[in-house]
Amino acid sequence: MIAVRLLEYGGQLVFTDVPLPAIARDEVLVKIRSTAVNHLDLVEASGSLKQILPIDLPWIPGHEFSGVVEQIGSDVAAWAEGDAVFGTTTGAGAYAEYGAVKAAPIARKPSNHSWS
Amino acid sequence: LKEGGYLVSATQPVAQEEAAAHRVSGVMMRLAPTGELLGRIGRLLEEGTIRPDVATVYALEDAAQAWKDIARNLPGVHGVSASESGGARPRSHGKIVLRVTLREYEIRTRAYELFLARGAQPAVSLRIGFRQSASSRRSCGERIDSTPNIPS
Repeated sequence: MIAVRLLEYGGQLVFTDVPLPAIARDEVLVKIRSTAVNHLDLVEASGSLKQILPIDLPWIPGHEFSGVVEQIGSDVAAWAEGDAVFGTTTGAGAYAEYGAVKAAPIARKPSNHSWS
Repeated sequence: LKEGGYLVSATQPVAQEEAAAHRVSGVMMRLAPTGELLGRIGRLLEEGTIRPDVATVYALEDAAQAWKDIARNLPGVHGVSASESGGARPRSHGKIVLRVTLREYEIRTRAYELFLARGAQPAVSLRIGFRQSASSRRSCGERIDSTPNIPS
């Protein structure tokens, strides 16, 4: 899949091909339609607060998303493939074509709103 | 901020000595939304009680540029250069959205796959490509467009 990654603190974002993330039992795989930039992304990437807000490098930023559920973990009952949803990640991973995200902080996308 | 006020920061911890010097309190906030809360927000959006505030939409592949543009409003973050001109108009509010647009990427990838599938030698094909007329270029485009179900 395609994704945007940060390879080192203070580095440039790189648009690249990466492996599809694997989902845990309590996660769903979302085909992401939109994500968004947070100031916090830039602060985390800069490394200036790495003592308190460390990130795992290489890092795919992205706290929030809208998209479609593509696959569900074995413990997930609330969602099914094809559901249009929005929600938050655990702090990273949404600047990508697909995201493996916890099933809990997700809600149904309002049908009268776009993906953005 | 008045004396005795509260500073709630969403992006960085509050320096307690500085807060004390200004006689204010400061905490950092991070979101921990639940599906239930997001569902309530979704319903408020649906009924039009609240509206999204989108400042700019970038393609995902332009994320680096989006960061440069946003960095102008975020002085003091090390390692982020905001020196380049152009890009988004400055706005004091609104979300910077990154849209995962695969279309161009898919077309490029698919065109390359077709190119390889035809077993063409790059140099030879390029030479033929340059000699081809506009009509044959159009037919080449049709081949790409008519490819069923580009894998996503």
